[in-house]
Amino acid sequence: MRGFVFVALLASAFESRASTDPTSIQLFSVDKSAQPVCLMGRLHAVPRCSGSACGDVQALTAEWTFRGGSAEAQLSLRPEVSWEVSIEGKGCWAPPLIIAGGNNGETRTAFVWPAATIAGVFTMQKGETPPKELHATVEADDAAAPGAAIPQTSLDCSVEDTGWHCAVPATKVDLRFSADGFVPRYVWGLEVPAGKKKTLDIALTRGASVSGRVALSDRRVPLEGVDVELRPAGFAATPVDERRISARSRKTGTAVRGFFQFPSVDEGTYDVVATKKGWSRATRRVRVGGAKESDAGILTLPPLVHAEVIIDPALDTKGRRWRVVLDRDAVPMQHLLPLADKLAAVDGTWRVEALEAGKYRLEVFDGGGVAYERLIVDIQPGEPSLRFHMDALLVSGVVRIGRDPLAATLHFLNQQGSGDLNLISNATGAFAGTFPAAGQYLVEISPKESAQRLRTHVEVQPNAEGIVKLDIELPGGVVVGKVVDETGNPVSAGVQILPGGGRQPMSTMAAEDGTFRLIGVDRGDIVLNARSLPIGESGPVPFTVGDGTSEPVTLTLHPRHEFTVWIVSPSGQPVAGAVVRFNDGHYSHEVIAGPDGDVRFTVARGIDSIDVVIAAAGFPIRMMNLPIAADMDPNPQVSLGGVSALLVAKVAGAPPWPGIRPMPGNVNLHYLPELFASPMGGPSFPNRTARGYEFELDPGIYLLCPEPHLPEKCFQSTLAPGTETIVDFTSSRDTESKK
Amino acid sequence: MTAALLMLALLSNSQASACPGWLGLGFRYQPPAHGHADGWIYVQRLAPAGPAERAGLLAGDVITSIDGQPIRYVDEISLLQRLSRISGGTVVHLNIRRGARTAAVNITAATASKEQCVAWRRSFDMARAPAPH
Repeated sequence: MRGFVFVALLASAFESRASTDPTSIQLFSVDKSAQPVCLMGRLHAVPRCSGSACGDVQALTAEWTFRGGSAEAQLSLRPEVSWEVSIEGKGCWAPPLIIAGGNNGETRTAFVWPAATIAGVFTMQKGETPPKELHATVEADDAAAPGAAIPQTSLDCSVEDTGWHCAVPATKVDLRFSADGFVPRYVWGLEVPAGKKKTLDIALTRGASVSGRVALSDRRVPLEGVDVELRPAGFAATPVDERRISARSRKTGTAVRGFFQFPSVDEGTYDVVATKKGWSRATRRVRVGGAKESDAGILTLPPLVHAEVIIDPALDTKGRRWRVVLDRDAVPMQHLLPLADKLAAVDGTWRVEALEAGKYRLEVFDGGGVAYERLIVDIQPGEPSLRFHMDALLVSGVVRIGRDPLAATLHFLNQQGSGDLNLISNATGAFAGTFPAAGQYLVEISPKESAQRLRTHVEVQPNAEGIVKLDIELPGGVVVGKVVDETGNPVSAGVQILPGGGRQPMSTMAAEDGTFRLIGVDRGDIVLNARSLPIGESGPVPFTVGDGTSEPVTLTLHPRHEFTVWIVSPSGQPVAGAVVRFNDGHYSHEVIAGPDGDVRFTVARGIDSIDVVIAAAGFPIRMMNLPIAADMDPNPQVSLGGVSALLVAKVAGAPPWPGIRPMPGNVNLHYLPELFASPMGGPSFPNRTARGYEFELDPGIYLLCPEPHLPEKCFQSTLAPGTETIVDFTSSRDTESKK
Repeated sequence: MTAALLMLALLSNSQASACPGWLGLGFRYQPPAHGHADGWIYVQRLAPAGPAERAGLLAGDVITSIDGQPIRYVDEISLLQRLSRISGGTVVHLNIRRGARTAAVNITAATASKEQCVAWRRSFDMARAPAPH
């Protein structure tokens, strides 16, 4: 029985081998010169498998010789594996042929180029160690011979000390050189004659880089001369932000084949923006981490587009034409006119040409200026027209403060959909208008007789007749008083009801005689604060609001409490340059420690403690509560710790930010961004790495809150000295791992 | 401390049209105050591979003297005018404090490119603009 099995297996193997028809490899010489340097060689076929997967499959060779510019050789390639066939020969260069498994007696063709050599030395910064290996790839289009393009192929290169050399095809080629830890270098359109050597020195610099290509959408043709900008990814909300981002941005242009490269790029997230007149821009976000090349891929410039809007009904409720405004979907850095602001035609159509493809803000107003639509639209080539059906609701009502009617300007903003309009209430508090949609509206009320602004929410819902009756009742509490300095002189200062205890802040400005009036205040306990930059602050003043007008309150401004805290290392050396953030319970501040580790604090009287975060390079972040009293140490000293614990927080990168505070103690919860060591005006998110946001903290027990407004989700974590704790706030259930 | 200032290139000859040597650093300036006879410069950021970065300066460093002289300029503009005398190729000797350590850094100012000139003019305009309230 055993003998029978052996014979059967042998027969099977024999059948398999016997069925292998030779694969014919036809070679064509690209060299058409009278005395070609590449005349003959051999094929070396290696199975693309390893170990037992190869079975008894062996490497094969076959000789070939060019006759009349072509050659043929045959290889009995077993079909159960795939093969890599090297085409070798003195003075010859060819990319390897890959022949997939299943091949059986087929014919393959390949082009063979005459070979040339490139060689040179590495140039580096002084003291830099040259790389042990050089990785190089070659690529060429088929200009040398029709159909003879060279796909991206690795080159054989040798390195000895600072010298290197590689064999290349003798045609116009694009080359990429890379060495571990160094920025890759590209050479475009290099041509070395057959059998010759070209010297090419490679300048190596350490660091990360960003590269990519730009092409046109219609032809997919790589494009030379396109402007490419590398911008740190960040939301620019103010002109200062924009200047900051722009100042860190870098520009370049595309080379042949549409290639661009930014060497020596800092770690971070960037937007690569390619622009060319007459085409829409293309943007790609890239992350740069470690000394690696980040490939932005091919940025394809789409053609310009048009936007078309069709509105039904074609005219508004009063027979007026609709007005459509189209603007960039970006925070305006300065007052710019919108891209388009014009009336729709009487048939309700509106159109604008030659726009860059992308996102825009689109607004549709009735003839009276009420916003019926306000949305972000993504306009791309071939998109259908935007169609809007406009409903209208008749709204009337009365606004009262306490029991009294209020004459005011009312700004309604729909929180759920379209609707943004201003109405005016008269002396009897009555107002009326047309709303584009039902829903919950935020109402900002500017009383006629006051500089104060009040806010409330209302529900706009039509009754059975389709009419909306909307009465707005504001709290009737009124706080009156006077602001004076310590000598009793009146001061025109800002007066605020401080946030906290479920109250939203409210503020007004005292008149020249120091008197102020805050209206629309809910009854109950509040905290008042008056503030004048040159004179000082009243500090928090508790006050109880009743119905109607309260008894007058006097807020006395005092010079602020000023003191210096000295920040020192564990050995008592001053720590210069520490970023110190503190919160006095109402406002956040940032100061930098001077050369002597000195930090100057200025706080209002009546504030008995401040929460402080100290971030200094080389020291763990300290979170602490600093008591403030008249008899406090005039020179308090904070000694930073030595050993730290690393917290790696994986967060979504946008609000709500997780919160953190040390336990035990009376430090309040801080949002993670407050721990960033970078000062305001400095680079964004320096703590962000490929792993998340990393913080070196004082070891200890911390309370971590994925969403600070949901205390039930908070959990404790012990950060031991010298350890690393990874907390993933992005998963549905926050997870923690330790090393 | 005065308003944050991005300073990629430095002033030259108090003329906005000419370009100074390029150090490649952004800073905030703290003039002498609160009993300190000397002011100091807080390094906020460094241009990648710029002269300051190549010389070993780090964001967060506190510069306490320039070419051996303490920093006693009344405001940022005065400091910029001092720095404007640095031309391309000049070596600037800085004493710094880095956390609890002190160090000396020598920066060789580079010749400013066109883009750096533009960035400098922007910085100059920002320094001259009134501080926001």
